[in-house]
Amino acid sequence: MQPTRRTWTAAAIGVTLAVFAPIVGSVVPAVGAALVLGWLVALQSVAVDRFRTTVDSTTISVEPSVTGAQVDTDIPVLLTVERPPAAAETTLTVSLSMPAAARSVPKKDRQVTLAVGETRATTSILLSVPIASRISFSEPIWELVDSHTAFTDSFDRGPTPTVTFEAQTLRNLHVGRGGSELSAFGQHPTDKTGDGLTPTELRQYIGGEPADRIDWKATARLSDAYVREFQTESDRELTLIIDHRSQMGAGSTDNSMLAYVREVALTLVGTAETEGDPLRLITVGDDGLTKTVDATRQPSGYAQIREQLLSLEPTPAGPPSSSVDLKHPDTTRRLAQQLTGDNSAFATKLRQFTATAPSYTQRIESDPLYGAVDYLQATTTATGLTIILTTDTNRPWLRETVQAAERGGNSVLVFLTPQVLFDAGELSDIDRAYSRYYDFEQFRTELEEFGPVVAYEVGPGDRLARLLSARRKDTASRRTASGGVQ
Amino acid sequence: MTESADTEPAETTVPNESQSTLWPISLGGYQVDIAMFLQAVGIGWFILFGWISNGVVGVSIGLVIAITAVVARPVIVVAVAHAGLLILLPDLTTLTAIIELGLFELSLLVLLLSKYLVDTPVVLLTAGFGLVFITSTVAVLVWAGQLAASFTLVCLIVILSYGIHRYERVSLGLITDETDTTDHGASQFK
Repeated sequence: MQPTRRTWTAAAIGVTLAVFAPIVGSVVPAVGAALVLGWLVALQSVAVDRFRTTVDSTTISVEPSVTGAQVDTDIPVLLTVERPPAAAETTLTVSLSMPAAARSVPKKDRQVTLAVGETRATTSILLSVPIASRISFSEPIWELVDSHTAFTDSFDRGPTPTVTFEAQTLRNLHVGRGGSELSAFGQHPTDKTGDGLTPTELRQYIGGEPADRIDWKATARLSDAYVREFQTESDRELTLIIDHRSQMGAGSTDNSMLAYVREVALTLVGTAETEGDPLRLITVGDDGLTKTVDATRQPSGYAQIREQLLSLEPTPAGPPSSSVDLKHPDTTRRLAQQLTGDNSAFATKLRQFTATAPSYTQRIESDPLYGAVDYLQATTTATGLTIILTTDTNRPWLRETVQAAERGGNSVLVFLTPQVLFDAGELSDIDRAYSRYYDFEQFRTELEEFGPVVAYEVGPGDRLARLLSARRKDTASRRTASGGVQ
Repeated sequence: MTESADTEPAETTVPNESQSTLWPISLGGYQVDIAMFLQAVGIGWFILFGWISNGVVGVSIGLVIAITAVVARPVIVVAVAHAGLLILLPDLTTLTAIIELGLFELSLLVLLLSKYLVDTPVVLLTAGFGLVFITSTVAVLVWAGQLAASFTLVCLIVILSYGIHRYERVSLGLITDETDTTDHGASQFK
């Protein structure tokens, strides 16, 4: 609570009178001081009471028109201040604080003032943010002045809504197979005819069919009864399983594996929303599932999934796992059996590597990504499309995970970020980098052999193009050199 | 720039009660503002009081107070009036002088509150606090002298005002619990 300048002046007069009293040796100035200062204390008491009434009964709402938008999009935000007539004995100014990332708006445009006797006021501002982020408004700032302009107070209080701004697209985002770019994904007609909206073909009317299915125009034109078939449409339940373990933090902060995977996931959410497909989200960290959102087709549900995706960060790394690549557990188990009874140094050394084979089943079941698929199959019985977004770092486990996901007739879509495209300095050794990319490509095609599985590579398009281009030049120069020798 | 703002005018449902011009009184068929009426009564009383107590000199002092009341805010008038009162009533040892002082203060109170008369809580609290402070000041004056009386009055006001200020912070919920409840990350290791 702060006195205004007028109040300080009055207080100074009162104190001067009090000081003056002993100087002149009379009680008269002291009596005047008591009167003036008593008046000020009375004003202060009344101001406190009215401030309290105002604060207790005033409602403030800060309502963004949407909770999620693209960057550089203007979002109207409505600030409303309302109070009952009984609490209208103060002057109340409420200012909206702009988030640091947002474009500035002049203070006079983002504040409303209720003078004494006024009960409701609103203002609307346009919020625009130039970078992808999730921003929260700070609490609105209240400034209270009592009806006699003697005392003021200022504090922060009120709602703090959040708005999520998504990036338009990542630069250099490449989604494709074997180095070829995929142009678009997301449409899924059923290839079946029946009731629907999109006309497909005409066929002759069969006796017993409802008469309202007859296409009267075609019938009149062709002099026989014809029925028009429409393409049927179905709702396909989609499940997004996003890996945001520590390994997904590879690459720079803005262009990490997670950033690319997130971009693809956001596109898929947009497609699902457009198509009206139910969408479920499962996010996976180093210690297991970090967030699940049940299947939803509500706009708020899609918005919630978007917010979750935008808030994902790589989780802290857990303890290092075994460096043994159990690519073929059955073979490893057979090898362990063959080594039984062989006490040579070579067999002893090999046995150390196979020691992990018996615990393979336990280890794969403890893999968080595998656990996510396990969780999905335990909690839903409907078949649908499972979309896994991860990296190829743990290939044996990923192989098992994809196999588990396609069980029960589920279609599986895998988006993989090749490790080789995110390792710093890897492209300086083109042969080695290409070899690693070739391995990745083999792994990707191997995944597609597991039935209804489609695997895509996701990563920085410029790095992939540079890798493939350098490899082509290298091969061409070798051919030229070998041709010259001949 | 893309930002813009659209502010709607505020809705008013209650008249501004602090404006005394909304509370006129009728005198001989004329509508007179209550504040102006009380101010005139107060000024008239000062001049009359000056005439009774000190003749021409008293009237002159009353006129100075009247002019101040017209051109300055009430709190300035209170200060000037008390300076004039020192000349009008140099000796306050007689019962008559004390009664005169009481009447003088009453008229000053009317003048001080002429702008706030419709704000009943302010009027009542000013009268109450004024009475308490005057009484306590006179009591300390009798008991411990003029200097102690002035010092006690100022200290009393400061303490009371600060107490009200702290009460306001608490009642509005602006005081946060300063107890350190953080575990400094200890929960991560549980």
